[in-house]
Amino acid sequence: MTAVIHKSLADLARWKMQTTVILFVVFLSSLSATLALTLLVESDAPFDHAFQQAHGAHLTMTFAASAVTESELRARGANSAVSAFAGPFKLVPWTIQQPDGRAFTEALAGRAGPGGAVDRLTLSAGRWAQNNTEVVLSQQMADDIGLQIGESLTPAIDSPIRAMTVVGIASGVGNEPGAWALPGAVPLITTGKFQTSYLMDFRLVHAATQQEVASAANSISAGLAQNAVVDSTNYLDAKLGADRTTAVMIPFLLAFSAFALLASAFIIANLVSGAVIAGTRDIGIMKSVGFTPAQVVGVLAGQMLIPAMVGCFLGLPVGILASQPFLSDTAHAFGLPRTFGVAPGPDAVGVLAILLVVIATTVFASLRAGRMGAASAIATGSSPATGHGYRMARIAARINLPRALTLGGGESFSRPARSAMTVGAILIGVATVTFSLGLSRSLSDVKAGLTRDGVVQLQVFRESSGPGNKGAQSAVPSGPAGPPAAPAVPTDQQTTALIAAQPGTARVVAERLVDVSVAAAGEPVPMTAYRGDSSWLGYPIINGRWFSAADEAVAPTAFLTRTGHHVGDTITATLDGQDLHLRLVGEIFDIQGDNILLRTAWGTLPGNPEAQSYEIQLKPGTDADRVAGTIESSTTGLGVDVHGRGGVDTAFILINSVLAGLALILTLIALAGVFNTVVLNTREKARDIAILKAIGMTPRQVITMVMASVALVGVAGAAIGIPAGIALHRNILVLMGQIASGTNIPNQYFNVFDIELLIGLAAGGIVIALLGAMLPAQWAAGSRVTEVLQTE
Amino acid sequence: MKQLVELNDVSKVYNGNRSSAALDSVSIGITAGQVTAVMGPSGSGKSTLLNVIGGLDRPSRGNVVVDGVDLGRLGEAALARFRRTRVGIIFQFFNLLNNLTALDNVLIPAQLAGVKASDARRRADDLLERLDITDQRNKYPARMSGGQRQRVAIARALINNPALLLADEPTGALDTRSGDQVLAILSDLNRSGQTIVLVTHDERLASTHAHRVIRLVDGAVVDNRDAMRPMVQAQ
Repeated sequence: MTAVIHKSLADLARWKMQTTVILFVVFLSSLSATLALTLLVESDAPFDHAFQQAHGAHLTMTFAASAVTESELRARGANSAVSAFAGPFKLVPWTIQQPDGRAFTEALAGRAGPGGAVDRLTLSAGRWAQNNTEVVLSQQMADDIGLQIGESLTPAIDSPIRAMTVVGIASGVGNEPGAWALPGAVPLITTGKFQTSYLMDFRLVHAATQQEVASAANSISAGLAQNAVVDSTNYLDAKLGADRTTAVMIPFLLAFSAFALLASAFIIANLVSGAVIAGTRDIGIMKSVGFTPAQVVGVLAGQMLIPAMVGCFLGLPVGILASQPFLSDTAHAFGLPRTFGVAPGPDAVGVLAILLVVIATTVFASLRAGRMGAASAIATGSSPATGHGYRMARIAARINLPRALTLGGGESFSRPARSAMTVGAILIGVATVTFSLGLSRSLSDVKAGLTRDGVVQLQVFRESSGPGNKGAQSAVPSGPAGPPAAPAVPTDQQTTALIAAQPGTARVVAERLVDVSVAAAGEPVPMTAYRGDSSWLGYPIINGRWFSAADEAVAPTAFLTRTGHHVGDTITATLDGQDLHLRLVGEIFDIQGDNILLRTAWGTLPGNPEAQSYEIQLKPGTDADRVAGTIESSTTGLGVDVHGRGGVDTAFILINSVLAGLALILTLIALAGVFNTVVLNTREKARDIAILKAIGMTPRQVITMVMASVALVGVAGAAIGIPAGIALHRNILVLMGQIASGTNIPNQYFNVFDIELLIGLAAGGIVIALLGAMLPAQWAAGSRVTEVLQTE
Repeated sequence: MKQLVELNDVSKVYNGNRSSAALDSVSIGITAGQVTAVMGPSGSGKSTLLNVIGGLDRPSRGNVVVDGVDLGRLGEAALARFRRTRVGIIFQFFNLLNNLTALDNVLIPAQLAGVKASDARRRADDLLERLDITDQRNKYPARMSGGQRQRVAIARALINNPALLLADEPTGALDTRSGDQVLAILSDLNRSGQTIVLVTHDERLASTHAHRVIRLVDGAVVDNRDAMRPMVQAQ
């Protein structure tokens, strides 16, 4: 055993390049596998992990301070359905004036600190408030408004809250208030416009289903005044939203994990078998001095496994660390507290898989070598490699190109197995880049299609409410703070005139949202009716067309799937007892809620309905915030949403950065594969290169020859990798659509590979090959002729 | 007579080990049109001398001038170009490229030099015919005898009309008959005016084929005189 260890260690020191390449490739492979698997596991249920760590609230209830006291609420904590509680926290609507004249209202809660038995908050920046002039913002509010620590918030003139300075940003799990201050900063007001509420968080004994949570809410509120409960939300809705959106990452993370393992397998097999071939003479000498076949295998195994284990040992923690920024971004994207994510089980499995590849290829290659007779091994290892690439060399010699190019090209596939594995590595690199670029472009189109920010810049809401009408959505969130007192609301005609009067208005369409019943839908179906030409609204068409007449409608894939209908079918939608017969003329790409909805023309609605909201397209160069401010300040009772804000960007940025990171790592692995191949090839061809230099090949010609020997390999890798990447892109995109919201994908989202991109990708395959060959080519050019030919 | 090669106080040491120099203060001249034999025991510096003359290696000290070109002033690329056009090298073990036919092996130096394809082809065919191996032109080295391979190597060395031919033990790997054939070829080339430097340990070869014999021992020139019985006189 001592001799085996000594020989292994001596070989590691002697073949530094080989040792380094093995270490580097295995390091990259284990890093990428760990990164992808950690993200995969953590993305599967980001909400659950955060909820666990934060002791999240199963149920959050808001109570009117005018109808219940703090002591009454604290007593609710003793309810048998409750296992723990936090609060009651005072809550007031806090109207803040922005410099552009717009005002917005958020809920401000009074809380002594971020900790507690339930719903612990995580400070992502700054600190908690220490006096009544300081405030901590929620991550959501900070992102929406773009505020940072140190900035001051000016209250509206009639706001009961004083001016405050932002000292921290925090995240919780679930439906959080917009901001927190010390309890002393939040007044108790039971009459007038800004009435205080009480917020309480509950952890329940049974909270697995909506029914259990609803039952607990009823039990908690039993015996209180009829108007005591203002609002009630539970963790299951928040969980659904967060988990669904991050679940779309699972398909491509799986793809990347598989790619990483496959690329690594190609390269490690190539590397190990090449190293064994290069050491054939050494094997013969070992056997001639008395090493048994098993000891020979042991020496070779040591050469491979020692650097491989070091590579894994380094790659695993680096992969875990590398995944943390992405996990942080995931948490940020969904307003969850940031946690340190690690998936020890899957990570260990991934790393073990890589080590198994190394072991398997080493044992297989070295067993063959170990069976060789000593004399033949010495002879085989000493004599130059023959019998390879005759045909290609002959063909290349006839081509009228510089000889250095044709000599290199003729060598491209002289070792078919090695070349095939190198093509495999480049293929994976090119396929990964193709898939990543394509998916990034498609997701950009998806984002544009979902947000329609390029088409609709403003949405105006009439804050009306009344029996029989579908309540208009208010721009003022009616969350835990409860809705503010109803302002005077302009009529439909007044609102339409006001919007039309804005110089920046290019197009506007009025909308009314109603609930209809449709057989097999299983729930009320929101149906939006549009007054005026709505074809410009930018909903991507998957199949069919946008409606152009009354009694025509379009629907997302999920609606069609749920109800079993297709484009061209006529359905019956019941509105207030009246049947409406609608022909489905189009399937649209539309992700809202659970995507069970309809969109139709104004004429479909019976009677003389009024519009509740308006979507506005502005003229190019118009300042959307200014127009919004003008509309809001012109009258009360109107809310305005400016498009282009919100958390959607963060999610797409996150996915793009994960794609870029993993694609880069896989490209580096491909580069290492080419590098290894060229090192092996130039080592085997050292004699031929020396002969060529002796008879007059210049260093530049040597480099040209070596680079040319891999250029064709790069072309082959690109030729296969690009279609493979395109196919993967299509399949992954379809899968992501199904996971995200059960939607099909519009064709335009697949057609993202223009000719310039395809040419660039093809060049990319060649570039990967040439970059990997650059160093070994220079080494070959600088090698000493006399040393190789041993003319003395 | 014109000196085609001049070595002035040339030394070559490896790894700074001056105590065992491969060449030690060698100053010699090679006359154009002659066959010069370099002899000495194993490790005496014969091949190192050849490498230095052919620009395959650089001296640690001194200068080497070949056909009027100071090799010390040339970079690696220039040395390669120099070798392909001014020097032809014949190795003991032929050093042919095994995956190229005889013809393609012969053509390589001309192709590297950018010679027009038709001209190179014509020259190669002439050489193969002159060396009586036209029937081997499309064969691979593995299928040739030692003598045939060495003749292909000679043709390769001559394709660009070099001023100087360097032969390192050209018959060392051949049987007697093949070796004699190769020596006859070299003599014939010399009769046509080719300058040849020949490394050998064979006294008989030196005495029958060389005009001059240089003897090396431990890297130093110990003898440099006309051969006892030159086979031919230089023209």
